Amino acid sequence: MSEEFESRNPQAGTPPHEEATFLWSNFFQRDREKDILTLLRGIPIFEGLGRSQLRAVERILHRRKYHAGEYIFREGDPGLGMYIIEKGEVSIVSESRSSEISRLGKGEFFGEMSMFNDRPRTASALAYEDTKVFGFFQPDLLSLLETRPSIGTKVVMMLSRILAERLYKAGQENARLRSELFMRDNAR
Amino acid sequence: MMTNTKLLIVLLLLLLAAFAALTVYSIGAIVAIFLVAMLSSFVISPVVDWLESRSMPRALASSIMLLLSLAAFMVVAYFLAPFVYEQVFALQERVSFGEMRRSIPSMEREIVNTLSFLGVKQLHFTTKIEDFVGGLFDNVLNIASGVVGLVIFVVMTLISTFFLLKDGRKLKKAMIEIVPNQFFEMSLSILHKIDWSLGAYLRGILLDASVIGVVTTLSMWLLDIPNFVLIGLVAMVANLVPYLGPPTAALVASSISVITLGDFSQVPLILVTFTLIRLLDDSIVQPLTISQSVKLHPLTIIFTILIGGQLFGILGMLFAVPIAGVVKVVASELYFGLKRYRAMY
Repeated sequence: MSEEFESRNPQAGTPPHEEATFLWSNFFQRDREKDILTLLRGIPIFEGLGRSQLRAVERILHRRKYHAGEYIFREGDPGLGMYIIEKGEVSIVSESRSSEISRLGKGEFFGEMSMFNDRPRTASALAYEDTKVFGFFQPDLLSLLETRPSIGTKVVMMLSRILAERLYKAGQENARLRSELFMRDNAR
Repeated sequence: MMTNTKLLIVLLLLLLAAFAALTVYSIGAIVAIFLVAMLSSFVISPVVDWLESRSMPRALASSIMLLLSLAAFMVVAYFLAPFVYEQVFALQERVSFGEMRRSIPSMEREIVNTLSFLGVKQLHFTTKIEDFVGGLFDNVLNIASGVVGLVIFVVMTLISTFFLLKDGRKLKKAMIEIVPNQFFEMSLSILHKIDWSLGAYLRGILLDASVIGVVTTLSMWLLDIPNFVLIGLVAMVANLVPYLGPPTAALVASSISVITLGDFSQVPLILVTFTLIRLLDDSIVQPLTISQSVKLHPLTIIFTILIGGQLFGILGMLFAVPIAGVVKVVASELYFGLKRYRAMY
């Protein structure tokens, strides 16, 4: 477990000897903010947003820290929103099939389907190592659409584009599998 | 059968509720400032959101709304307060020196004669009405003498409202930040739902009361009932108390009419008008303004009003039902939120 992770984990608390480090780190607040903005700019959902718009998005994101092995959410939980990985690795696992679906790293995101519906999560997200994530949730997106419609609309457009792309790919995959099944049936 | 853990949780919750009630009771003034500020911020926030959506910084939008609220309060105080004061004063004059002194005893005699079979001998109407109106006048004087306290209350409330409007989201974010990971999404979801339902409920009851206040004032003005503004205000405030509120307002209006005219000629018309206003409220205004899910059971309402009256007097009776509504919103969102997540962990 890294020292930086431990010192900023709200559950772990801040040991006295690290307070000075924490205060000193405030001087580098701007650098940290710059890093966050660079990270967000690299995420497809926030593509095309200006600096001030990204800052507005950053204000509604929830920064969370998870220890290795800790669940971010579990299969079957009501979905509320998506997560963007700031640091660390997250394993997406199917508990019903006891298998890992994929492993995601810095800058990647997961759980985006829950931005648009309240269906239960279809897989679990588990911190593979000590991980920092940004949570972006449906209520915050709605609030963004109300208060900053220009930013909210862009984000919704990008999310829709990503989901449409996935739907298209899933459709293609479905068609391929159907044709394979058809050919197999004919060969028999 | 309830397990020991469940029993312990119930006991802890009861203790917590008792502690919260005791705290609220002992620091009533501060709690009142916070509650009024929270209520105001819930009511005003859609306008601030709208201004923000028009590219106005939230701090500026909150300041503008704060100044507008202050201006509205001053306008209301400047125009309405002397008017209401004058109407109460005129009412007292009528009671003390007017035609009522001559007409009430004859009305009382008629009633006593009619109800003589019940053993009714004397009703002391004049003394009772004089006491009631005198008390009303004293209360107005008390309010005037407590103007400094009122100004401090208003200023503190406005400042608190400003910060709740400007930094409300930051406060919520800070609150959610301290929640352990395990309960993070659940808490966020519940907090959001409480926020949404509570805002809708508070805006609803305020809008409903305002509509009823305006409709009553206009109706009384059309019927040529004196003190129509006073009656409208009473109807607006009384509307916060279901079942008991509207009849109280009708009674006040009828009493004023009897005191002024010295007979019951306008009473049937007033009662019919109030019944129509009630029907309008139940069939059109309330379904449009207040969510059906927040409606309380009549028995709950009666006990809530009694408890409110016992603890905080008239003000307690007035605000008991809205507060019970708030508690119901919070409790039901907590219950359904926890139920949705009960399979977790």
